[in-house]
Amino acid sequence: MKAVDVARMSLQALRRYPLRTAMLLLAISIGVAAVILLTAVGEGARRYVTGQFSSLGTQLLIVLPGRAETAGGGIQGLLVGETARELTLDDTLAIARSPRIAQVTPLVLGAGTVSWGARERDITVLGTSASMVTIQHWVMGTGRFLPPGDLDVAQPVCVLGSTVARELFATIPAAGKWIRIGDARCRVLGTLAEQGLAGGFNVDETVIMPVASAQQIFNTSAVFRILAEASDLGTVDAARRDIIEIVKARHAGEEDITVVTQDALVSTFDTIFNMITAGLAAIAAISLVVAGVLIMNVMLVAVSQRTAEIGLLKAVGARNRQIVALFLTEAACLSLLGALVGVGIGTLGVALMRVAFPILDFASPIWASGSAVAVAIASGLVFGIMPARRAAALDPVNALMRR
Amino acid sequence: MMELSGICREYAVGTETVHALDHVDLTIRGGEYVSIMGPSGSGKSTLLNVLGLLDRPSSGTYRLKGEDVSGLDDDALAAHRQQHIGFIFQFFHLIPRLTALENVELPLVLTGAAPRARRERAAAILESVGLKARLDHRPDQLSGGERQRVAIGRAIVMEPSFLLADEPTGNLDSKSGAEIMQILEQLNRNGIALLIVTHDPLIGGRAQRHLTLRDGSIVGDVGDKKV
Repeated sequence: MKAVDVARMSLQALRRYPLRTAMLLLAISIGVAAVILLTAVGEGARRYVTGQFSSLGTQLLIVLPGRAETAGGGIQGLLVGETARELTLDDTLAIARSPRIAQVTPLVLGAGTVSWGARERDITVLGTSASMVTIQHWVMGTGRFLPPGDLDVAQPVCVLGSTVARELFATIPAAGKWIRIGDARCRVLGTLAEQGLAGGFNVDETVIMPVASAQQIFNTSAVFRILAEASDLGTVDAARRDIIEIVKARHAGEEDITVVTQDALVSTFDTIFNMITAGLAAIAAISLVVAGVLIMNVMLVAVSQRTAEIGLLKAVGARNRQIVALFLTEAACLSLLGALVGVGIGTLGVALMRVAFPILDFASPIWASGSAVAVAIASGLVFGIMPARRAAALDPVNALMRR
Repeated sequence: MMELSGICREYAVGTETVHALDHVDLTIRGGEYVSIMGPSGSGKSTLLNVLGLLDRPSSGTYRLKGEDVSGLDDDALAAHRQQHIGFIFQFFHLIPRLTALENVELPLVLTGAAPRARRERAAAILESVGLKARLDHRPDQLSGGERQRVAIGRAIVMEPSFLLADEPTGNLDSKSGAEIMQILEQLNRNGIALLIVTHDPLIGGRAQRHLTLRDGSIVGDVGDKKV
């Protein structure tokens, strides 16, 4: 029996019961479409988050005190943030002397109150240096950024994040005004344009000061983080080893810092979101198994409805495996057609989601469509085997007696 | 040639054992025209099913064209049915979603014959049973007599040596029944062996050889032109 004849006869049988066939196609296509839509959501979230981190620049290295458990860093060090030996401004200067480092800036963070006249706001004070604006690709709104100069010189100046500037000064130009941060007074040099979220940190709600000034306010000599930019994309790894060696030499030979590269951060989030996407796909795939059970049910009904026909096929010489092939092909055609309709519905759904939520870059990965179709067909075949075997095992005399 | 010797066929019905065939010895030669008659439950249909390899005897030996087919498996039996035996049923057993042509084609499709050749062959056979204008009709668009003619076409499309008909006119009016009998008898005259199971003595009487069954045994065998 030719394969094309098997396929033709299966399709003829499916056409005979259009409503039942349509319902099964619907069940399978919903399953496949669910896989595609859910993975598109997962993938959209992944692209959004990794995009956020990539916007910080891939040449960026973040130095933090304390040794994270795993070599190569990762997100763990950031979260735990244990302090072994503090980083200092001198460490920052030492790192800056490496030829593989283009620029470097220290970072001191603390909570503070900023006030101008009667207006007062709780904000985050960010102590850093002039290099910060280029390392982070910040855009100035008005005025200028912190002036270059020695890191250890405290100057009574500051730059306002856009939200802080708007809430303190509304439409009044902020540059040149004197504001109060805690007990210290300082002059506003400029304001940042709106930066939005970057790496989960909202720069718009900070006040930026020279690092020495921030250290005075918070009465500390420590540096929270050191941000460094490698001189070249290809030297990020070498720069990382340089930083570790330099600080190790300064910290009595103890390797007590962690250097997180942007790549490591991005790939950590990448991994997390890929896992989430795969999990969503697996959950949606369960519906395909349910659809497989439906196929089995319908094929069992078909076998009992077509008992006389099976008897006739046997009488005119059909072998058992030909009858298995006929019923299995019918199940496979159902799941294949359903899967293709599902891919269509899913693709259309993803396109609609992109229109509805343009901020998220929804896109179902190709493996999701491929494996959804594969799982649908496999489930049709697996659940089709039992009914097909039952059909082939029918006794021809008894089968022919059923009309 | 079909040779049965000592054939028994027993069923278990509840706690009882029914002897549908009880030590039957029978030889059907090529080209014979045989009617099988007897009261309900006498084993006529069981005999036809055993002869047609649809049913397996419980004991005894069956030689079909010289080959012992008693112990063959499902697929070997299917192969023998395909090559040697054509079936005609009281209720036609046409596949409702297929056209007359496709129904006749079906045995050829199972053998993997080329589409063009099998279509031409099926069309020629339908023409020979007078259905040239009905090739693309589905069974529900055909009369009873026409349906049985399609079924005859399907039974002879593989050119079998034996044609086994179980009450072929049982579901037809007398005029269509007579037409069907004429077609079958014409096929017999052309050389095919024809075995008819029937209740109707008028139909049964037309055969050259009359078998009578009672309680699973052959109690009458008239007209056998044994040498």
